[in-house]
Amino acid sequence: MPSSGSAGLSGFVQSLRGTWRGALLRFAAAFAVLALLWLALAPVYAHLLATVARPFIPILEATPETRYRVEGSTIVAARRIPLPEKQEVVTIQRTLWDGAADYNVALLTALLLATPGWSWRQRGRALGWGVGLLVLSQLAFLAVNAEYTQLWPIPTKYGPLRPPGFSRAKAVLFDWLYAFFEFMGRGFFALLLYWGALALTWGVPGEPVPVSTVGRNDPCPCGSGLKAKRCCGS
Amino acid sequence: MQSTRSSGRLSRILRQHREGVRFCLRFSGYTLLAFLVLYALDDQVVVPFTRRIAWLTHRLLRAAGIQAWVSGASVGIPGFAVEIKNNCNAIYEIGLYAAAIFAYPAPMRERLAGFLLGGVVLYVVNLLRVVSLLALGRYWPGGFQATHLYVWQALFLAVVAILWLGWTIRVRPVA
Repeated sequence: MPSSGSAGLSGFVQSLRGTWRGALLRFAAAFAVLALLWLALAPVYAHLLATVARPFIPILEATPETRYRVEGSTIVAARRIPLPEKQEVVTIQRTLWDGAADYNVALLTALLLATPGWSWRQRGRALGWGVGLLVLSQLAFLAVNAEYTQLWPIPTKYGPLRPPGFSRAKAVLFDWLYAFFEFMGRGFFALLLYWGALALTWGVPGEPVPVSTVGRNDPCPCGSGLKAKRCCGS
Repeated sequence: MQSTRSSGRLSRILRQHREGVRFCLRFSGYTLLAFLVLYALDDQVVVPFTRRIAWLTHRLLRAAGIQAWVSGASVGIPGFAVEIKNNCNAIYEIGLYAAAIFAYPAPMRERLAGFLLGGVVLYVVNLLRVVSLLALGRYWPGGFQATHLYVWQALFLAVVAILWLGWTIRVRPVA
């Protein structure tokens, strides 16, 4: 439990001195369960993410006939790119998001569930905010990927062609953005949100608990059938 | 009225947790810096680092009496081979760990010690990851993809978080 007068990151770190073994075990158990759950949930989550992304297709995609499809747990963009000089239309598919590699929701959830010293209400609130912001970071990654994959050469029977509207500066920018999300982003966002939640809410008193109006000789509200003074009120 | 009250509440929370907010900002900044340096020096730092992991894995396997070969960043055993790429070379994760260590308000000597010790642990854990993935690919190919892309990646970041927390418990924070 939070030690008196210590809150935030340093308070949490102090409290871990005595509780780290239990927290580690809880983390391992929660992560194992959540990773297995993710196998079943990833396709559903991919559908949800694709549904949120679809209205943005006119903004994100150069070709209006692009469709976002979900294949298993991946979101795929099917693009029909016209090649005016060849008088042809090329259809290509690019993977925008792969749920099988998206471990950060399970990681953040397991870390939040394993953290000692939070009430379930505080934990639930941290989870809601954390996962919500993580979903936003995944939508940002999806948008970066949508732009980045449009800058790749188009495979045609005449050889790879430059995509319409290609700009070298844009290609470099999106290459770096993609690399950040791919190599560091998942871990960075999960850890930042976890440490942010600890820094802002750990050890902060929750909402005041309503004062009980049950008399000592009244039946205990827990439903045990005993008087309150001999049960929870003892 | 409502928005004034909530912004007042937010600024009060931020003031109360100045230390934590500062840590998160520093962590974000250092992470970005680590990424920029590593990605800019891909050929000079990341590629040789990755090849060294492949070479060390090969030496480890040979020392254990297992027939193995290495070529660049690829390492193999009879029946299975892997090419080590970013996300499997641990260098960006070590960058993330370094960002967390240097963002925490501790004496510089302790930060350096924490970074070096943690970096070595992460490097060794990564070698174990490569060896275990080689064995998994050879004896249980069906489980390779999920373990490679999901389980080991997440566990590796959990190791980063745990190492950092373990280090913070031992250091005395400075204001």
